Amino acid sequence: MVEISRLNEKEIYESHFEKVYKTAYFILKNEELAKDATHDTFIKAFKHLNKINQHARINTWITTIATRTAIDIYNKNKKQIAYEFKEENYLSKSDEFNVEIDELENYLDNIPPEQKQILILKYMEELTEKEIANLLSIKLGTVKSRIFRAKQKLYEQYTLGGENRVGE
Amino acid sequence: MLENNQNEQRLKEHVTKEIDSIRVPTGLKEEMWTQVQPVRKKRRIPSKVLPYIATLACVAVLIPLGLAVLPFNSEPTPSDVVTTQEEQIKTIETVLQNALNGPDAELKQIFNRDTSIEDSIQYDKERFKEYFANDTAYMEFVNSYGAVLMIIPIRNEYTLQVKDIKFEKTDSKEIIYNFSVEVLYQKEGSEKSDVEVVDGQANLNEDHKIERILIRLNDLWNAIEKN
Repeated sequence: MVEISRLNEKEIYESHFEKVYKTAYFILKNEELAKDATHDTFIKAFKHLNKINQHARINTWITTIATRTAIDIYNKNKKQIAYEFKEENYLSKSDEFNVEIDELENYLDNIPPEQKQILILKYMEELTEKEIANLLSIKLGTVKSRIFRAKQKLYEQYTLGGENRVGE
Repeated sequence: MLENNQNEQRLKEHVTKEIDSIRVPTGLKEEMWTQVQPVRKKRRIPSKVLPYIATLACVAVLIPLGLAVLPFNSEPTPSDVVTTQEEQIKTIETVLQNALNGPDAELKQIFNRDTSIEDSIQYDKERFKEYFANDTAYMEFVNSYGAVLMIIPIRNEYTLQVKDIKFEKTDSKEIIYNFSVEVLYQKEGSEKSDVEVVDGQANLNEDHKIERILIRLNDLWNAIEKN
């Protein structure tokens, strides 16, 4: 493995762009805001690149910056996002042909960004709860409760959609 | 317990699927790179330091004037100047040749074998360290160039070869050279090759060691990645 501080910015950008954008979009559910978050993530990452020691896991490091940046942007634009989400939800529910729409996606939309952040770090970066707590400087109990709440919402989907649908 | 694990697995699959299904807008990656790529800024001199710099500049002007009236002449002869310039150019040329020819078998092995970081540190040290003025200058170089410069050619299976280098000393009081390098790039196993010009700038000290070097590689990387 190549030492992180020795990688050049272009290389890091090339290999992480897609993941950063998708992470931001997963949290924000808005293309323009996801673009802003992606832009800000790389600006922050490049600024602090020389502070990363060689053992740091660059994937996790950049993903964490992306989730934090997306959460900041979410908080700044909360009202706008809530309005757009309401509009989309109303339209899809009013359309009888959209009844079969993937309900899990709607449930993921309802999960707060802080819980999505934990889901990303747990399932995409495969970090343990303790590692997530250390990384985000929050208590282990907070991590556990956020995971529990996120899971609860997703399990509700299981019940609504039926086990077979979820497993599809 | 088993059910729990299955549910956990399903959750993971769903989150992964959800993220994987997100589509990145076409052209966004290229467009955004122009906005986020780091620009090396020149250091601004703090205004508080300016009076000290002015004083030092005056002293720097007065001392040679004072020495000029002494009964000896220490000015370098034209041949001294030529030799010095040759030494300076030799240093830059060696670094550029080492950086832009390759990747050689050893470097390919280092990247493909997933070896320890020590191997690539050693690789850089052997080829570049002696040409730099100090550790900071050397580290700045290997952070951006050195072995990591060859990542894109290795990943795209290209070989680089320096065809020609032109140097031009700037009018600066510091020892600064502009350079342009004709680099031939060729896909491994292909007969076809192309040439791209890479330019840059190097700043040296009095001992002909590099204090800073900038190699503009964007056009070369774009050309390789377009092919």
